[in-house]
Amino acid sequence: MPRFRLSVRARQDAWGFAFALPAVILFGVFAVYPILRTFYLSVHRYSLVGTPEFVGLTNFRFILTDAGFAQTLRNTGFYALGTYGPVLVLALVMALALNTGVPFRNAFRVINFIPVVISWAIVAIVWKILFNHQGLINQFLGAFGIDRIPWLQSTTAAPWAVIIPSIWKELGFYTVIFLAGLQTIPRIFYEAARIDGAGRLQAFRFITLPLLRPILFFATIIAVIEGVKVFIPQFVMTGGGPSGATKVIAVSIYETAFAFGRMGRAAAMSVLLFAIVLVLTSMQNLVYGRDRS
Amino acid sequence: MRTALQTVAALALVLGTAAFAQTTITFWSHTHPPMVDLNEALVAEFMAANPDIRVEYQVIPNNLFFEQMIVSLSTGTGPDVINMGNVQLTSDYIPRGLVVPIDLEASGYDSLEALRAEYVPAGLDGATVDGVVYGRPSEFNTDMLMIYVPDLVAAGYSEDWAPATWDELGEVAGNLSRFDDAGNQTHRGFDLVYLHAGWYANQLQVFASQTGCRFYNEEATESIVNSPECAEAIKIWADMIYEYGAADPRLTAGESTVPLQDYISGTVSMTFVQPWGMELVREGDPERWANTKLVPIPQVDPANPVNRVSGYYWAVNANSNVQDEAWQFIDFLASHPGRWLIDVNFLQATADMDELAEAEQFPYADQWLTTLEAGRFTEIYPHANETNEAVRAALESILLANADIEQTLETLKVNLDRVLQ
Repeated sequence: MPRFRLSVRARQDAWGFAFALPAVILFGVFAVYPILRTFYLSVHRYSLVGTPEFVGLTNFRFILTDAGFAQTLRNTGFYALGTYGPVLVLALVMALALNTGVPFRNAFRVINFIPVVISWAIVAIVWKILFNHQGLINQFLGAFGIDRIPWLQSTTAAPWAVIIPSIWKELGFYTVIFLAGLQTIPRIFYEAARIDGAGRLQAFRFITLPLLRPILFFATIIAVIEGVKVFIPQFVMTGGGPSGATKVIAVSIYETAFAFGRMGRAAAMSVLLFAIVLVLTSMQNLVYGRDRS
Repeated sequence: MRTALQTVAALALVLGTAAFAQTTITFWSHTHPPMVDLNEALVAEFMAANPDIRVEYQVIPNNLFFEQMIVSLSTGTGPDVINMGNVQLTSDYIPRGLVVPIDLEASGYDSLEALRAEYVPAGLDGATVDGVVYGRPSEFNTDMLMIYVPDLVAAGYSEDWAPATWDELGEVAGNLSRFDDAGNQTHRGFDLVYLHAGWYANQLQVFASQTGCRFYNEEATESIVNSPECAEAIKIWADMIYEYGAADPRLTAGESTVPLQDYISGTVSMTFVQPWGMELVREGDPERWANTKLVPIPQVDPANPVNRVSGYYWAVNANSNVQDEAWQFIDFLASHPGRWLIDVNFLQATADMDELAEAEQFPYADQWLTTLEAGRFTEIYPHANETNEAVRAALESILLANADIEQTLETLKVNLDRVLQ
């Protein structure tokens, strides 16, 4: 009777699959299943007790006609733009500066990166104290004759009170990304441009920016995702208030699921959040693809 | 011979293990330092008296308490024994079947009447739905006005002063407030506590119970929060800020572990206090407590005083596998009303409260009892957390941004009607 033998390639594949299997199982259980379950729950009514009841698109209809959810969308957009717009610009400027021969540049790089390694929860608590009505920031402003600002209690000031620490915290990460990108651009390009009479601005526009485009694309994608799924600063500093002025989508999802016990509605919000991120990144991909071609 | 020895050894091991087998009860509560201390002491005493039962006690931070409790109980991972507010209990936990009715036998009572006889007439009402009782009171709360007398005297008022109406309170509180050269308020004559949504809704209930404001109609089919009664209730609160300049919510410490921190630290002269709050002030600053007096809260209609009553109740998780032991443990906790009174300043609404030896040492015992007599349970409404969150957002608009009260209540009604969907 002939023995069944696997080819060498098939055996290698089998071993490879065997080694990957634990990771695949973990990924399936902790990533794929929750995603599928979220889609499932989004069309059900479920309060963590009993069996989910199918309700079709009711949850989506409720959310899309809810003024509160519309406000969370606006808040999320405002936060994402208000934080990551300045962060990307400032990080690029910072990276350009740190990529030159300025003295103490290594020290500056370290200082710039320190906020990145501090836990967001701690950062949020510290800034919450700083923004207290009688806190250090208002005392500092008072020294210049500026009236106290109700940073965390005003619907106009609170969104900025969350954005300011976010810029401070996120700047270092994007600076490092841009710095890494800048260091891959061969110096010979700049030397050639200089010989051809190009100034610094021209070199930046015609050499740095085009060659940095893949990094810019990557950073923008990450920034959009981070901006849209933000949770900790709003949750810790303001709890989404005052009057919902800083309530972003992720805070609303958490509250709807775990404080209100409306898992189906929260799942529908998550699906919408997923759709928003998908659309935004696809648009960026489209723009980048067009530029590349 | 060797086999016989092995058998005996194995038997001894099994019997020994059985003899030391322990039932474990898990018990979670919110953070309140004096309460946590007594809970820990009582847990230790209960375990000493019942060596076959082990109690694992865990304290949940106040700002996460309601979310963590309802999620854990809903998912079957909650503790066996909980200590929960009456609003949450009757609006969420009981309707969703998360807690079980009292087991009279395990609690050591022959009948419900015998248990009811242990408490004041309304004592068990905060945990009763459709005539079925689900918990025993751990604390029974109502409000009094706490005044720091030296501030009063310094402003030229008699130390016996007590306001009969909210306007009287506002006028005096405005005069007790202090401002810096730039016009910024540095000291508040009167202010409330601005913490999580539950606090906002609870404090609003103080005014609402007097004006007759309800969030929903009796059948809970529609919100009626846009009523003149609710506008009047909120106006009392808003007037303290905008009419009398007595309060500035932006100055609040927002300290969830010590909610009365502003009063303790001396930045507020007058505030509401519940029985449990007295111990916090005494622990926080004994000298300040010594110069503090408590008087009844002002009234919309002083001739017909109304005080809101709320409570926390010990209840047993419906998913618990040790329900008998859990009720036994609750009975033990409930059998020390004197210690709860003195150590934590918790009124447990027992029928013999005024006869307890400890009641003589309890500050303002007579006044608390008089206040309780005019007490009525706050409105029980569905989806408590969701309702409270909507109420908080509306109150913040009014109290922080001076939004129009009637217009804000119209928006709140729309939001509360959606809560019912």
